Amino acid sequence: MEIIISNSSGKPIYEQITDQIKGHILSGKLQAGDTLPSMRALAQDLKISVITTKRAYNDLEEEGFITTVARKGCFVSATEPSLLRENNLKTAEEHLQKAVDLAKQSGISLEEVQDIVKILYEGE
Amino acid sequence: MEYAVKATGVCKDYGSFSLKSVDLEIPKGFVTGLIGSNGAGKSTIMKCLTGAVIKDSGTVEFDDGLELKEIGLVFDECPFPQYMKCEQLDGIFTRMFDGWDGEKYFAHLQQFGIDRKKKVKDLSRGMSMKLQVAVAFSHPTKLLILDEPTAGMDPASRDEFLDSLREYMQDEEHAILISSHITTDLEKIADYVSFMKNGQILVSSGKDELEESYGLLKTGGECPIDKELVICSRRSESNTVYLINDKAGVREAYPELVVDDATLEDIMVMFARGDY
Amino acid sequence: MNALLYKDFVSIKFTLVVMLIMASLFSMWMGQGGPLSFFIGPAIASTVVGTSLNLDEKAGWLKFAVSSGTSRKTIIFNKLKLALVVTLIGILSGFVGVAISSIDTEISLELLDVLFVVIFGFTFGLFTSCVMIFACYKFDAGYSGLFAAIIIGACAGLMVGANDLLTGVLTDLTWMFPILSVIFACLGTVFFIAGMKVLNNKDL
Repeated sequence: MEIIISNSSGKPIYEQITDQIKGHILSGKLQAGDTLPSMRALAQDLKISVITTKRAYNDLEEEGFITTVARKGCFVSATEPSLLRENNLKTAEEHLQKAVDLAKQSGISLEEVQDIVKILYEGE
Repeated sequence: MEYAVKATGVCKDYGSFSLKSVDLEIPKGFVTGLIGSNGAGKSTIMKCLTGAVIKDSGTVEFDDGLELKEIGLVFDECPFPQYMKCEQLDGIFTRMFDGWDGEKYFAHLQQFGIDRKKKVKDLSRGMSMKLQVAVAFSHPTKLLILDEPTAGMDPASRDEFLDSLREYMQDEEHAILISSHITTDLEKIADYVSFMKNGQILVSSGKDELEESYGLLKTGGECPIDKELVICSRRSESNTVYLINDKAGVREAYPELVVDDATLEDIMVMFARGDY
Repeated sequence: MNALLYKDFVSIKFTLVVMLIMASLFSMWMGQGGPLSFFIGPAIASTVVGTSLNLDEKAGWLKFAVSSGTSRKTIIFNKLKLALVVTLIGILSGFVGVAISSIDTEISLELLDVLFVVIFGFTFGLFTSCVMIFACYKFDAGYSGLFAAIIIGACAGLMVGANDLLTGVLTDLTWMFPILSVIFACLGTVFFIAGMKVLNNKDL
């Protein structure tokens, strides 16, 4: 499982971890039932505090992405794909909300915003 | 949370310097860092934990089943017989510690590049610290108490040393107390940190929590925020820097102000040199 | 052999050998094959004990030993054991000195005289060592050399003074030694207990 941490990204490290693991799960790199490294092993590998990895894993568990079995380890949950989609939809909506707020503040029209979204979506 | 050692209200008076009611907790399964400048009292409180220094008052509680001989120690100066060769130390420790592993000891010596035929007094500072580490890792321990262990080590050796600490911490029954003023090392390895100054603990917190909440407010002129939020400050010709512990709050309330992240080093220097 | 004694012997083995040689020579030179030959070695036992205490202090060994679970009581009792062995080596050097003397001189020693001097030497050696142990723990073990000089100087002075005082007063000096042995044994114990108290309260 590949995790790259950036000290300069401004995002808290535990969030970077949760985002990347979620990304792996969504892209299929991590399948339901796969084992994740233990919190300590991950902390050792990334050279960060075990409290950080613990927080990341706790968050992931709360959101239903992973499950911890006592004495066995952490596993990727067998979640419905629709649940994941719903989660991401929510996050996308939050991001768009921020863009909309900023647009309104700066007097940018709805049409302008829609144009930008279209370009970005089709551009890739 | 289970603790390997818990010190409560430890006081020790030396006249010109004293420990003033120090509370220090070393949780099991985590690395606790102790930061402070020279003379802050780090070595003293560590020695109070093991009984080398006799405290005037306060309590030191060990976890059930933790005995002194299960503590691995690294002191700021190598305490081994100076005229003995490194290989002869094996003879001492095999008689001193149950479960002393001579093979492991010699393997560590080799790994650290320490000539076993060299006398202890002939080792460089960094080498003598590594020697202590080799000894600490060669008998079964549950707690490591390390006093400035990386002083004198080159960066590659420090990296290797921190790696070995991470390996040690894979066992969640283990705990480490490490004091250092090389804050970058603690940034890499500590889970919890405590700042010491003049024999007192200024703040104890999770390291991440500390870095997330402390910040440096940089401004010219008068203090633009509520004085209650400021811990200390340093004034220079062109500006004043304020140490605050609610970075997020201040940023949200005053988006126009410059609020930088504070590293452990920033916090330590502000504590040590700032005006209160 | 326990860790502490092992450490001490390996650290000072060179000093011990030098002591054995010097004490043998001194015992030959000053003892002249007489009973006093057995006294010289123990008299300088304290210097060796002082060296060992000095080395401990210079390295900062005590804080390590105590922090690793060795009790302060064990530490001081091991110094006493060391003193015992060094004193015995001192007495041995007396035999060596006498043996060397006997090469060119006729030696006639009363067994009782030798026994009394040996016992006295033994208690005297332990006494001076206990004073050294106390002084090093109470004050700075770095000054062990100074303490040794004071101890030996004081004892030499006392011996000479006592010798002058007693010749003429007592004709039979032999019974003096057992009495002195008891006195020095008691004094030694006092210093040892004082040393133990000092060590128990010492910050390392």
